[in-house]
Amino acid sequence: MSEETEKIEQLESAGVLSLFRWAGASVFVRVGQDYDEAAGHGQQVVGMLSYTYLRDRLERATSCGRFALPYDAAPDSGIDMLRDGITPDDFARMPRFEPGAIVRRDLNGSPAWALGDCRWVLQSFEYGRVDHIYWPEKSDTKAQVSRQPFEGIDTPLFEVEEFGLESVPVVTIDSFGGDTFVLAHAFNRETGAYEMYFGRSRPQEHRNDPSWYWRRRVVSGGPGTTGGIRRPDQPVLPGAPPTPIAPDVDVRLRSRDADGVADGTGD
Amino acid sequence: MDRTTRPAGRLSGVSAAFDGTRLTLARHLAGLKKIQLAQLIEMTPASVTAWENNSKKPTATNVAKLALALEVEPQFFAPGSEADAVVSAPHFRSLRSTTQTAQDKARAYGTLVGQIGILLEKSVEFPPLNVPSVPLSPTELSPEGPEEAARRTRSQIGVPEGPIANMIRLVEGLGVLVVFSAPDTASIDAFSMEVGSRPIIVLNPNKNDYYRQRFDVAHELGHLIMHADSEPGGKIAEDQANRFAAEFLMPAEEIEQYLPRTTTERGWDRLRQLKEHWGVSMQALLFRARALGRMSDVSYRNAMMRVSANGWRRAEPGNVAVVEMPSLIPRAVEVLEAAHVSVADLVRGPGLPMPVLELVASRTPNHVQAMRETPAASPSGVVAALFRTEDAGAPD
Repeated sequence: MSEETEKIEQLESAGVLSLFRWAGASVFVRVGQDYDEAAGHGQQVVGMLSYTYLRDRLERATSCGRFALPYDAAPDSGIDMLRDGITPDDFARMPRFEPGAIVRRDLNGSPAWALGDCRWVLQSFEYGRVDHIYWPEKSDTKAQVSRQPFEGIDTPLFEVEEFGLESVPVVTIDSFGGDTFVLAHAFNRETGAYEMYFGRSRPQEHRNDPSWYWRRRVVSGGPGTTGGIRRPDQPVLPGAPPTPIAPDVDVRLRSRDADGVADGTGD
Repeated sequence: MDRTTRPAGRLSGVSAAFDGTRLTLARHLAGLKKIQLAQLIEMTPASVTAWENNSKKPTATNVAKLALALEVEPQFFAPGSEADAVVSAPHFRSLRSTTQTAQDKARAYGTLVGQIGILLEKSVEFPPLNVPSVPLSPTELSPEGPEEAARRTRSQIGVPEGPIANMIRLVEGLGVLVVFSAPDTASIDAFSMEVGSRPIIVLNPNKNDYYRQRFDVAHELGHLIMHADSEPGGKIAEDQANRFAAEFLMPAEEIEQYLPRTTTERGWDRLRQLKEHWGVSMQALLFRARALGRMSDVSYRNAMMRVSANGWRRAEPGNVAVVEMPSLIPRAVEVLEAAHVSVADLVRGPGLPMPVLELVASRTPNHVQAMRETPAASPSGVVAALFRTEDAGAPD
């Protein structure tokens, strides 16, 4: 079984691909609402918003980061915090993971999540140009991830030792024992379409070198796609949608007299 | 609560101070006709009539029998300040399909809710009463009346542009008591009435549809605003309340341009989007589109045929699966309990059965349904009648 198949199956069976699909729908509808070209927004804003919201959604669903729980807390503690900041629909559909099922294993300060030995970092890219990502330009961390040793495809016919050469020491990027992948995400500013890819990045020396050993589109949606929520003909409606959850109305004890008995006068 | 202890002293006192209207209330709650109650206590219907209209007082023994048969404490029959509150006639949706017994029972339930409210208000402060009044004749057709009433209400109570965030919380903020009805009165749709000066909205616990329940609450608010001083009318008043609700939840000025003209192409997508945004059913949106002249009669008919064919008359697709829930009475009970005031004692005073208070104070219709299992002390009494499911039928 190829690594691609193995990893995708691992993620699917653990519900992680559902998490990505949910997060994608939630994140990019919101990005579409916030994005305002007239105010001077551009690709940088899209990348920043997408990254911020995606990180937020992943943290919510997995009880990591801002939504981490103390080890002895019930999984449902502080559920109002999980609800706050996303739409009631998004909250209702949010896949929920047992705390600890997916954990944060950050890399050089960049947020990264791990399911067992499978870790991923986030990377935004320009919509439609997933195969043109140039890692060295992105960040040292992403470049480092792309240089992880991978024997899945590039297994040489002969080991270097057979030529009497010294083998290159295996590069480990940090103490994490498994492999690190990239969850790449993009939003089309013109149409509102979005896509996310999961894959193993590949080291590049030149801009035209391939970006991936393998990558799989795990999420797509928006206008003109089957997973679409926001369509080009869907306007921004006035006000905010309603919600069945609301704080109680204010009910107070009546003032009491000196004997501690409710006076019942209604004043 | 100990239902069996009934000191003779208390009984004789109750016999002396017996209020016939309380007996009528308990009998209606239990869903019994006079003759049925008379049979249960082995007396004549004439005696029951005489007690109810206060022309005769029952003996202490008969008070005990009545209390036992109706599952209330004997002191329930004693006159109390809350019992003096004037009760308005309820606005029921369709009188043709409900029996007089069911109407009496629903009215008695509303009355009881009002009386519990009055009782609680002695110890807690509810939001001040602030339901606007825009009276409208329930017997005359009015071209713009209900819509104008809805617009005035929105502006008067300061509703911001866009959807109503939470209908129940909005009306509770105006001082309206909102409760779920008992399972046994569920054949009667939501209704509203006033007890004393306190308006009450009773919701159907079986509806279980977030979007339609919001419309129900807006409809009843319309009655309270437009028809408070008038006798419940028929079709015209109902139509007025529906038009009020439509304009209140979906102001023409804000929604008209977004309503689809047909349901071809992306029409259904648009309706789904509007449904979630405004918190109303697609059928209400379709009706609105036709009423505002946005959609032709032909398109509307075709759309409704599609609604039926998809089974959406009974269950429309929608993202929100829980209904809005009342908070006023449940909150009052919590506040009292936090202050170590026993709510059980509070209701024991006027002799209310505890399960009835729990029903009235429940936040969710599910809770009400779970309480159907509550064992009743008597198969004929108030508790049995309120918690019996409708298919179980009435006692013979």
